[in-house]
Amino acid sequence: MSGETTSPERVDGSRPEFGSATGGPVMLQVPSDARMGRVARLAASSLAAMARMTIDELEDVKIVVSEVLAALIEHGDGDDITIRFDVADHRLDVSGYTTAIEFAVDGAEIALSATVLAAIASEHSIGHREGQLLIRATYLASTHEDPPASGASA
Amino acid sequence: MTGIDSSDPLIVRIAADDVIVVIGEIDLAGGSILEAAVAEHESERPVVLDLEAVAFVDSSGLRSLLGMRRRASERGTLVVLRNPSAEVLRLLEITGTGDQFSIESGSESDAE
Repeated sequence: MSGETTSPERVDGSRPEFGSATGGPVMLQVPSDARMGRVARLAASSLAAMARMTIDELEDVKIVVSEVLAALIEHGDGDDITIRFDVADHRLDVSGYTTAIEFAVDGAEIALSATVLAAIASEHSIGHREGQLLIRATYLASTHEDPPASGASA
Repeated sequence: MTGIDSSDPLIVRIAADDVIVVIGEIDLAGGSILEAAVAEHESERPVVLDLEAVAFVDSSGLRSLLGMRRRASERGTLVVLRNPSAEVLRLLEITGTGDQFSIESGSESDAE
């Protein structure tokens, strides 16, 4: 062990995206318990910091993951909630799922969560298929830039 | 005030004039704690919540506040949000629910 704490920089000076070259995604499995909200927010804000987001953006990410987790706890039937984080530069994708025997995707019960996700996340989706409730949200920081189209660099 | 458990995301204190001071995070867990604390102090008087020290709120917490507002309305009174933090104000704005509450800023509440 070298003890070096250098950033994950390639020989050519470029930085790999989190979630790919660093061996992601990051998976969080928690009991379906309202008290887990703080755990999920802490994980999400740490990952958002790794994605080089600002303090205000970290606060946004905390709301996004809290909405995802709370909706899964309230509307799911599973004992556990699984949340997957895919981290890239100035971008965080959050996907959460749990068992749900029945769920009305357009029901009034989840409308407030959907309103908040629509306002804060760049995109989101709420789906129910084959007994699983799945909620996805993507947060793009203000400084996020899409990677160049494939073939643009040698 | 109920006993404080360090695992609780929220602390609720009853201050002078029955103002309910809320400290911490109003999420799914915190919202339940707040609702229970407020239910113990329901009366014909307005429910005054001091939200200056609320560091986080999400839609599940907002639903708790809206539930309090509905119950207060059934009793013929209202819910006052005193000194709501920036986090609270932002969520009220996003969801368009600010008009469900009476909101007092610092200068208004100081003047009373």
